Amino acid sequence: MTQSAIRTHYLQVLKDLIAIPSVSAKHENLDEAANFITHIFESLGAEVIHDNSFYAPFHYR
Amino acid sequence: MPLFIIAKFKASVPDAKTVIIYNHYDVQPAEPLDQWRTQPWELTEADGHLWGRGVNDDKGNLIARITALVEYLTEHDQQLPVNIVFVVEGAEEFASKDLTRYLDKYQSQLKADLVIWESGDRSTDERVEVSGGTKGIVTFDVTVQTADIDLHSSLSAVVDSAAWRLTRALATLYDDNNHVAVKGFYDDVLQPNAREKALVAQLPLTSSALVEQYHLAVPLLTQQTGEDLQETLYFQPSLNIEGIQTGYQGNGVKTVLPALASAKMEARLVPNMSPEKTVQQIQTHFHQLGFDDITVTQTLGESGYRSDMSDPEVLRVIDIVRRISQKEPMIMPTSAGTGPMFDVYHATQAPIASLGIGYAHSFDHAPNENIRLRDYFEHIDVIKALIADYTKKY
Repeated sequence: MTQSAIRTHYLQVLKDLIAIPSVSAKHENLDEAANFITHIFESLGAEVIHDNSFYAPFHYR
Repeated sequence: MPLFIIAKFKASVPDAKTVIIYNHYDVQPAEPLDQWRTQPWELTEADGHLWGRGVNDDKGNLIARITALVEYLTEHDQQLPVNIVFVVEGAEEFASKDLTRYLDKYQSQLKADLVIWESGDRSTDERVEVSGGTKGIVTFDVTVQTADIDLHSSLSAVVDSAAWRLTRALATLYDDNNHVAVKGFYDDVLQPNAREKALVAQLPLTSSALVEQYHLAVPLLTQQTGEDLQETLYFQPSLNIEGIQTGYQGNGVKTVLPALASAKMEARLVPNMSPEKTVQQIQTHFHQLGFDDITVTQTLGESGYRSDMSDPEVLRVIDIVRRISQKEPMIMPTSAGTGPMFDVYHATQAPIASLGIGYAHSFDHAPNENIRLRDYFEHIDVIKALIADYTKKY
């Protein structure tokens, strides 16, 4: 791919990522955004770790 | 449960250095929606800009850096001269809750030579800002309850209300000179060194420009105290009331004496200040002034951090920005904002340089968040040049 083609492709990727309203304050769509990014890295051949061991307590007393 | 992501792209040469790129995929809420010129969840290109929630903070930065990596690999037969490790979290806009535990878990895999931080802006005079620090923060709720239920306001002649009690207590937090009046609040403040003072002194930030930029209806606090604007903004802690809730706020009139009042508050911290200790000092302050019934509950907390801006790896970044942008970058020892730099530094033991695709009107966290395409493409070029720079032997 040319530089121009790469930039065009990843602007579309950015568009797709922006379309996921991953609002941490509302705990909305975070997994969807994370999986989307994980897929990008995996498709590029990276060694990927994705971990959800720790629960972020989004609601406080 | 926000996923924590580490993606490693390994160098094709032995004993290569490692650059960690830190980003986050969570964003702020888009509200108020009626103030957006475009749909916040639909990336829109117009007039050389990209508009959308998260385009600058922080999804655009992440994708620009991935683009740079892909371009470099494509142009260099898939060979890297440096290990590139992306660390991407999903709770940055929520004080990076649990990031520390993830960093502790993977600390052995995160040793690095340089960390490229999530984002950065261009100044009003179009210089790329390269900063090496963030302030810390602690957020907390201050609550008082004076009765089981709201009362008829005819009783206000003899019954104290939660609203008055809270506002009286809050008023004690600052003295008449606009300094925080909490005992010990400033004791642990890391004072800036001479180079850090010199770096902020050259920032093109003026009181009049701030007043104009934000259409302020009141003078700056530093205009009232005569203290230095830059040093106060970047190196001093502060207390802020984020919001107060009490009594009746609906249409018309309700003659009521509030039984419950609460304030959401934050302290912006500088390095060496502890979030937990700061909250305890505020609780003690209230008790010592007789506000024993006021409770202070910490909600979030992050410590502040400042990098050594003379570190060779930071200087490498500065040199590349200077070359690519063809302008002298604006070097800042810290931003006035907050992020988990302290935790990332302790995991990586690497200096941190923050720079990115934003500009002076990117409107992070606000309606109409946007970037300029030319800045986006320039940042791709900077990251590519940074990768290429590791082919040199120092």
